[in-house]
Amino acid sequence: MDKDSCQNFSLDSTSSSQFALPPVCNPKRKKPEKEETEKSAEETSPHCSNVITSSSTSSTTTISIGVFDSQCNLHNAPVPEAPNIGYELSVAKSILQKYSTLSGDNLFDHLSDIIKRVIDERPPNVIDFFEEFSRNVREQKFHLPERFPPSGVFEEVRTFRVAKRILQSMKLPYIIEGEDLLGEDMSGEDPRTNEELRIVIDDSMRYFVTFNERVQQLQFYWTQCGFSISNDDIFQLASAMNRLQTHPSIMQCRFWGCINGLKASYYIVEATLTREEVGSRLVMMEEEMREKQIPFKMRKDREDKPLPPHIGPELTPGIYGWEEYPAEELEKMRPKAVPVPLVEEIEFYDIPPELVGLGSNRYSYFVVNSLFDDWIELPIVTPRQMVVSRQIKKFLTGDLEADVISYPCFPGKEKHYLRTLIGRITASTYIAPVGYYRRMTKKEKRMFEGEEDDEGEEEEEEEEEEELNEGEEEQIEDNDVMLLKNEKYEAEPLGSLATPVAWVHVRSNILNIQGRVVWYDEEKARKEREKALALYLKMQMMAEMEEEQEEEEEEEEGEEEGEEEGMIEGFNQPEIGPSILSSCANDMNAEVPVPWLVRLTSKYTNQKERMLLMQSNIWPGAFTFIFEKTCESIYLGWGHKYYARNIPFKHLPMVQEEFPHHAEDFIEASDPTVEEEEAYKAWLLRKQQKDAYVAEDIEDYDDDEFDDQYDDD
Amino acid sequence: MNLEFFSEGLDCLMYCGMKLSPEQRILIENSLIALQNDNRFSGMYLWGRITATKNDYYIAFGYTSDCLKDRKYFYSLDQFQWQLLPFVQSPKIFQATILAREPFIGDPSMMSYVKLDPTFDIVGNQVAGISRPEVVKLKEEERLAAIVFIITEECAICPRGAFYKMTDGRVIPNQMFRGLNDLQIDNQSYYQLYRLPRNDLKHNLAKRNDYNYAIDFLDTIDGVIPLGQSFALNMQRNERLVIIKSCLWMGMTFFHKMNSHKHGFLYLGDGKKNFDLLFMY
Repeated sequence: MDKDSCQNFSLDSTSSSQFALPPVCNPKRKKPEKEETEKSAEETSPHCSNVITSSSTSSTTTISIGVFDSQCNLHNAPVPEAPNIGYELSVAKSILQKYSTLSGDNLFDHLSDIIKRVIDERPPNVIDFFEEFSRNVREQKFHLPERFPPSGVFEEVRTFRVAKRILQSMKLPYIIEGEDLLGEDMSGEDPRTNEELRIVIDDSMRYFVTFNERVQQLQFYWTQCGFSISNDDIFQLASAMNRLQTHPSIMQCRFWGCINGLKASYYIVEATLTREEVGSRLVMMEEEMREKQIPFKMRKDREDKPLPPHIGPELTPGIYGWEEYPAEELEKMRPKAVPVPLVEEIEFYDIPPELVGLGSNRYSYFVVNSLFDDWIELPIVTPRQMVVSRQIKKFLTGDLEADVISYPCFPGKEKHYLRTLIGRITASTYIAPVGYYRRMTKKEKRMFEGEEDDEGEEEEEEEEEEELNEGEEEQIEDNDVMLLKNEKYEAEPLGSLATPVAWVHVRSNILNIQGRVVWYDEEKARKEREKALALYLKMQMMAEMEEEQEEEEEEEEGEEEGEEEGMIEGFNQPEIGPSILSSCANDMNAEVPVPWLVRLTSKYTNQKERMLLMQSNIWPGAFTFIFEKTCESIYLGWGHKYYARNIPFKHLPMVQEEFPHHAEDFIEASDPTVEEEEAYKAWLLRKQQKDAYVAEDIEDYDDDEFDDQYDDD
Repeated sequence: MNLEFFSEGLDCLMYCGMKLSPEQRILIENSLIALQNDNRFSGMYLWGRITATKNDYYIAFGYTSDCLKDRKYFYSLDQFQWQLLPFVQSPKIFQATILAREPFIGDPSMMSYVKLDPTFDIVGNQVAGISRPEVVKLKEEERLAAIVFIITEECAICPRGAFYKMTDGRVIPNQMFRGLNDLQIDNQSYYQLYRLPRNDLKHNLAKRNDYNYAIDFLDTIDGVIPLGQSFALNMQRNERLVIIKSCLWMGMTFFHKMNSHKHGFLYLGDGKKNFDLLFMY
């Protein structure tokens, strides 16, 4: 048995048998050769050691200890003379080999394991970490791969779940047995043909692409500039964007950036929808908005009024003993009490959001938490959300449906908040050198907007209406435009660009108070509503009088004329913000003394290929780089605006603001003392007696009593 | 972040969105190796960058024998010439650093004046007197040193077991450290603050069942106030890499690779504390 284990020496190291024997049986040789020890073990090993080895391989603990002790004691009899090193060593060894009653382990095995590990692995400075090392060795002893975990159980690796999802998202053409090869070919071709078709459709719009949509190409620039998303993710991002791009309702998309959340971060893509998609959304949206702008009374009349809650006679004071009335009479009875106050609805009109494809809703944004998931579109942004978003500062959690708990109350979920952040960041940090972008010429504009030949008449009408609207608005400000790349732009030397003066904003500013790109005339809208209400009431009257329809039409015409007049009368000053293509040097912020940081990617070396980097200080994490004729902006950060110290949060209003009260509402009075109460009781009793004496009507007496009481107090 | 796996570490830290440009990386890595050689440090780390309006500060530190007590900090404006950061002791300077509103300029000799908050003498719940706000003269170099110290104290992280306290009290990197496993990696109690412990040793040990004197002497990050809101822990790269970001000092990022000894932290930010933290959850 010993022989076998010695031959397995290199394989099995944990058993003590191989190491155990040599020093005991051959004490004179300090370092015996392996083969020699084998021989000597066979020749000279005492019986005792055999017993030891056999017991050490067995796993039973307490019994074997007993056996071991007794057998060793037995062999104590033929002890050689006093100074015998062999004997003493074997005694020492037996001490070391004493089994622990707790773990069934022994120190000898452990030490030999450690020594073997140290010699095999040669860890550096092992003496400093000896305790740790020794603990490691013991730990691993129980983690033998063949024993643990049991082979029947296989625990799923943590990364497996993610790996599976990634593979699924890539939609790989797996070969499934039993499927026709022909069918596969067909399915393989389908997307390709689709893509070609799509490109044909979009060709007219290719002209208007002003950005670089190839992320992997951009990644190169980003890496040079010293910021980027992870190298591993960029391929996944590219394929995820490809998935989005092939969706039929999306015309083009570009990577907007990344906003960190607490639990997950958002990858954001800015997309332009196809004209058909925008058209169909416009129809829905305009209807909804028209609905919202209808004056309140009109809306209310259309709705079914809720039935007034039944007020039974039990609530009518003054009538006692109603139980005695018969049921039929009770039904007919009208309550005499003041009607139960109902919640009064106040007319409240929000500034309407800008239409899909215009102003702050010109682009739609798609987000995703992990790049192998499906893209989720963010909702459109409303001016109110925009305004509130400016007053709060929250962490994004990474869950689009999470509530935004804030004061003032944010009207929406986290997805709305995220959308406002995107809008604000885009508006204030997208810049380009002067002359890099240009406005569209009229012809291009017509091409961009009015190319609606093969579409339905309804949509065409809408487009016209839109144009009309825009025409009106453009007189005020032509902020809401798409810019085109200037073909004539010449790459300037970076030295001249290294100042904010040379840069302009290329996305439309969002107004401070209104939260819209295009100013909305609230006064006008209010007058329109009033007029609509007046007209409505008039029509109702007429309907009651059953007039003819022609007159109504006349009335309508009249109203329209009046409307125009009203507009001229009540023209109030629109809110003005910096216009598109205004210089970055004018950026002012009380919190930030230096709004833009200018950095070169390479200061000392590589003068030829260096790039210029503009870093926004107002939105830390917003970058714009320029290299020759490539200029792109990106945001990578937390979505927090910079504040020198802390954000001036809006304070809560005073308690019970809706019920103003004054000093006289609260008059302090001391409680009556016991004596006073006694006196009052005596007075009451006396009065009762007097009343009884007078012997008036009891009911009257009750009333009188109360009246008196109050009078006296 | 340790110089031994510089570019790998930078790649892992990219999940904060920022990293170094190639030129910066080469300059910093090589000049730090030179710095380590000159000072005979046994460990050399890049601490991070503090954005300033003119020139950014790059901060590095090294140690000779004890990686907690005798760290030496260096700063550089040009990424290759490193200067020793002064050691700040005056509490006034720390107060002024916290209160300073202006961003860093990028000129270490620049002087600025910071008005401290007024102090109130309170006797029995009544304000007895208000002292005028004190104005402190603050040199940017000292401000930098103070802010680096504060940030390191508050949110520099290491995984549990990465540092080992020897019997003579010195703290050295644990050569036996093999990383946290997949059961431990997303648990905040397995991460410790890389600073001299402030909690009582007993308190730190009593938090765990499997405590180890040589390892659990550091404070863990799950006890940092505000509880559960100071750090955001994310799993990345097929959940094989953990990224912890500090919510108090935006820009502090920590990474640790599962089952490997590689870990590190890096601060890339403007040196501003997030005072709004409590309102942001």
